[in-house]
Amino acid sequence: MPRRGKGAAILLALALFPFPARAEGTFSGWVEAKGLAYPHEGDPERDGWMTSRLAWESRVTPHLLLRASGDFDLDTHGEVDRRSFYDPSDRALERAPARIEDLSATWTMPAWDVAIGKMILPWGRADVWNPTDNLTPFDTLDPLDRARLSSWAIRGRLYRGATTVEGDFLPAPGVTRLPTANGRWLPLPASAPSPFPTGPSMVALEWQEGRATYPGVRLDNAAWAVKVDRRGSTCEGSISHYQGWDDESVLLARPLLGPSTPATLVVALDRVQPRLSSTGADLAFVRGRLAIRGEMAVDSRGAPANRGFTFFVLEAEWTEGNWRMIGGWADIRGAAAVITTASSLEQGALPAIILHVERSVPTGAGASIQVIRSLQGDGTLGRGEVSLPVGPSLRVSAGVEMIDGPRGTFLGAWRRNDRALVRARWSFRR
Amino acid sequence: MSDPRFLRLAGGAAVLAAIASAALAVVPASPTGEEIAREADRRRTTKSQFYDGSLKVIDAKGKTRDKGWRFWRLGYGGESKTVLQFTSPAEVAGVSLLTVTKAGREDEQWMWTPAIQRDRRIAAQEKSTKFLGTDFTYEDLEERVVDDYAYGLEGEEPCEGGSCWIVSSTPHAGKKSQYSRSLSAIRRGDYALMKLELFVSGKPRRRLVLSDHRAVQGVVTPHRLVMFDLEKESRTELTLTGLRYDLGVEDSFFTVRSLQELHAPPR
Repeated sequence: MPRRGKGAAILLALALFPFPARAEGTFSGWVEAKGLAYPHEGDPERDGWMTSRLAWESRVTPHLLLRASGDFDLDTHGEVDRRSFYDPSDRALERAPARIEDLSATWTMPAWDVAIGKMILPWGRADVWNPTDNLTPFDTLDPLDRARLSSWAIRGRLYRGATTVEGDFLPAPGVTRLPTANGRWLPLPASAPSPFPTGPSMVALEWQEGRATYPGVRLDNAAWAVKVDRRGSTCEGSISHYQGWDDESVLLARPLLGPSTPATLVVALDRVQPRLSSTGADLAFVRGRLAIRGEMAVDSRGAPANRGFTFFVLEAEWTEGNWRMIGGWADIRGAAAVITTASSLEQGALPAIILHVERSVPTGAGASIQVIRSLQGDGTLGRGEVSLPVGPSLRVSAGVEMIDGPRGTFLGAWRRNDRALVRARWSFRR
Repeated sequence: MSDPRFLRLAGGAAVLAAIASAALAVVPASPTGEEIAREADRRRTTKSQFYDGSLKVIDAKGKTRDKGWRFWRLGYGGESKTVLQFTSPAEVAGVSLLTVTKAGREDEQWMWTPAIQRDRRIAAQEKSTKFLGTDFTYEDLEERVVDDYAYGLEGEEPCEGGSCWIVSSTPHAGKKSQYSRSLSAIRRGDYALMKLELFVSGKPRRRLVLSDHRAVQGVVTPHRLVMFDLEKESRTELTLTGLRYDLGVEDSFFTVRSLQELHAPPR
């Protein structure tokens, strides 16, 4: 990975610098240290992360809102690229230390607004999974603690009473970053039946990162989406359509016969981003302390996945004081997949039953428990976390995540990834 | 003195005086509890409101947590819309809550969380639930609808700035309230609310003490409110600054869209 991007980050800082001097703005951000420890053997056995965010926003005129925010990451185990500082495309296998989270200008008028720049565009009303949320990819180097990767986009919204129509154009659709090959979250087989006519019947596999076929930045590769949203007294929902690319790459194994030997087969892991057409809807119904949320998308993935499926989530939430309890069901129905290597819960663990219990008081102590029971092979993921404020600016958290499942199943492949985590975040705002 | 005209005049004056005395005798020496409550409510009814609030939540052990928010209101009593935006501490700054209250219907609430760039329709909280970690409950922060209660005048007692009527309020049968009864200390003269004792099942449960009253656009308003939780022995101190009424804020401000764009209060 060639060194690049430091100049871009410096230019960005210089470009933004005059605005604070002229406009009333808000600086905010946080610095977080996170540590993870895995009791079972694997790579790594201990993770350390230091993440920081710096954000600025200002309404420079009554109709113009500017936002800029960036992240900076360091880690102990090599998932953050140590050879480059900033990657404008954010498509590399490793995360660059510096990343732009938001760099946007929004013009707001009474009946419409338009935002241009790099931004997060989250869609959907469900809590655990969002089938209609296709516009903004993730960084799933840690699949259980995903980070969002913002996309360059133009977003327009038209407001008519309780109805909002949104249109989005993404000239350079982003890619979800997958876990590193043969790491804890993307274990690959160590051997396979030999394809060679002579030699042992089983051959060892040596994996390499292969080609990454991402859509180039061209007009015919741009993605677009439209959504109509309506809010009522007890019920609100939307219908939407996305035409673009599946941010989750398909992984294809490609044997490299040249460097292989009869004892060892070298296999390249290619990443291909298929096209995606997704038509979906979401709904939230609230009555008293009960909320029902549902979301569904009918998806069609292009080559090489060539798979059409329906992904849906249904949740019921009950609120009792500062506690909320969510029970839900999520499933994917449709044609069988072409070769893919599932690296996310959405791909591998569904159908699943969800239970989530959470106590949340702003600035107070928090606690949460989540259990995802996969009905595909009877795997279970359970996690719990408690957090406490320490003074006005610091919050510390501790948690446990436990995974179990039969061998050969998705969660079974992750069963050695039980872990404990501690986190400390210091926040500021001026 | 013995002039017949003078005598007629004097007699007429005496009759008038007698009539006047009789009339005065049927007007109460002090108003009723309901009259006091209605007058106090009339004096503080405004079309809209804004304030910057800083809160100190102090638990039974003396541990303190500070919060700050901005608050906008349009409407009053059972028909209103409010927006609350946290300004501190940093970890919650920007989190905003929109509440739409309609007579005879459940509140509608949405929360905007800037960290995840999502808005969320949330279920109505039980009115007795503490509001966002303070000693105020959701019911405590609503404007009371005068017609929902029956009133009585329980007496008078000295209070800051003079003397206060003690007015009891009991919710009518159709009114859902966690409180069986409340006692308000309302100051004679300006009808300022000085103290509110709140009872649950006949026992005192919370006490609200209001002070630092100042006239804002003609409305006598407390700028310091302290809510004591008598059971948990905690308290929350709310100090208001920048308080203004009748801002001219539009209905379109109280929408989910506005929560996402709140960076400076409408002036």
